[in-house]
Amino acid sequence: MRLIDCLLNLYPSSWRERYKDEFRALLDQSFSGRDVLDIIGGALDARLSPQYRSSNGDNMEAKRLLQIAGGGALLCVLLMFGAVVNRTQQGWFDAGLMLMGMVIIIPVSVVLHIACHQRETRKSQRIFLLTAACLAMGIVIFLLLRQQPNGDLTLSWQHLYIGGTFGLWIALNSRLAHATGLIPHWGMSLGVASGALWLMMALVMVGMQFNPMSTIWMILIYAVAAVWLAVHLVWLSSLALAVFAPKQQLAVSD
Amino acid sequence: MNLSDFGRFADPALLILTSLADGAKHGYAMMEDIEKLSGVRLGPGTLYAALTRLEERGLIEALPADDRRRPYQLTANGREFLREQLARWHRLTGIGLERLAGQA
Repeated sequence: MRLIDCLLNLYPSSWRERYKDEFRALLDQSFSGRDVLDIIGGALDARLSPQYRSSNGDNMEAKRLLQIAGGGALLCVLLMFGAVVNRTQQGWFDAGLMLMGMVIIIPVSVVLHIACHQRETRKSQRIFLLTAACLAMGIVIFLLLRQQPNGDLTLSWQHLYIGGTFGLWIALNSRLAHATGLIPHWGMSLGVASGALWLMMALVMVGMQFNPMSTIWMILIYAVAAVWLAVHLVWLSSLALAVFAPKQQLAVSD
Repeated sequence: MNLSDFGRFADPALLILTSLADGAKHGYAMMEDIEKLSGVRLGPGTLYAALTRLEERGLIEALPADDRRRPYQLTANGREFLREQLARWHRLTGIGLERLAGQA
């Protein structure tokens, strides 16, 4: 059943390796709609469990360094992204520095990632492709902006906020689409999530050409925003359920 | 080790151990048995969250899979742990009943 497969995909891969077959056999025998939230809660519990968060044989020292380097790279990407979205008329020097930072940090992150996940070469390949694509996109956008007469960039906390919001939006939606099996391919889920964001922005920009904004655009934008909110409410409520769910009541029979 | 170490899965863990006290069972058989025994229907997510914790702590162990279904059985530690917990509950039940009788 497709729903069961989607729910199973919510569990971490290491958990699935160990329990998937027997769990699937159990669900084939007994599954009802009321089990959906219980399974989502179980999946989040497994994801929060340290045992399933890291694979055996991982290099913890390198992992810690990777987290620091990854944090730095993410900060650079978000700053660049925010600056590109919210372009102003002042200096581009900071943006260039950030780009240089990415050039240095990202290969270091990739090497560290390979050191951390020695047994997961496919994961390393994916992260390499993603970071290489980010870097290439950053360079292209930067060069294009430099060609324009008023294409200067400046960076501020406001840009970090804007970039951070958009970056989180893409990451959350991509992860959600992939984890639920809605879009099984990892790269495609990232592409669709990014595409959805740019589509929303395009809608807003096209809508802003009209003064006042036409009703149809506003309805479209509100509809997309409503779906977005609904998806995230489900996601967050599942998380809250897993963390704060009440204990099972024990009722010993005669 | 204490039952409270299992956090919100303490009661499901005790129910699973009790269900396995008379022999090995796979997931579905445990769910059925626990519902019959206590009136509580453990959801599959809760059942496996408790099972993984019990297995991690060495209180139960997996047997070779029968088709796709994998039975679990109590280990010696699990048997001892269950005995202690049930004895504690037994004492508590006795005290409660005695006190209620004293009030009557």
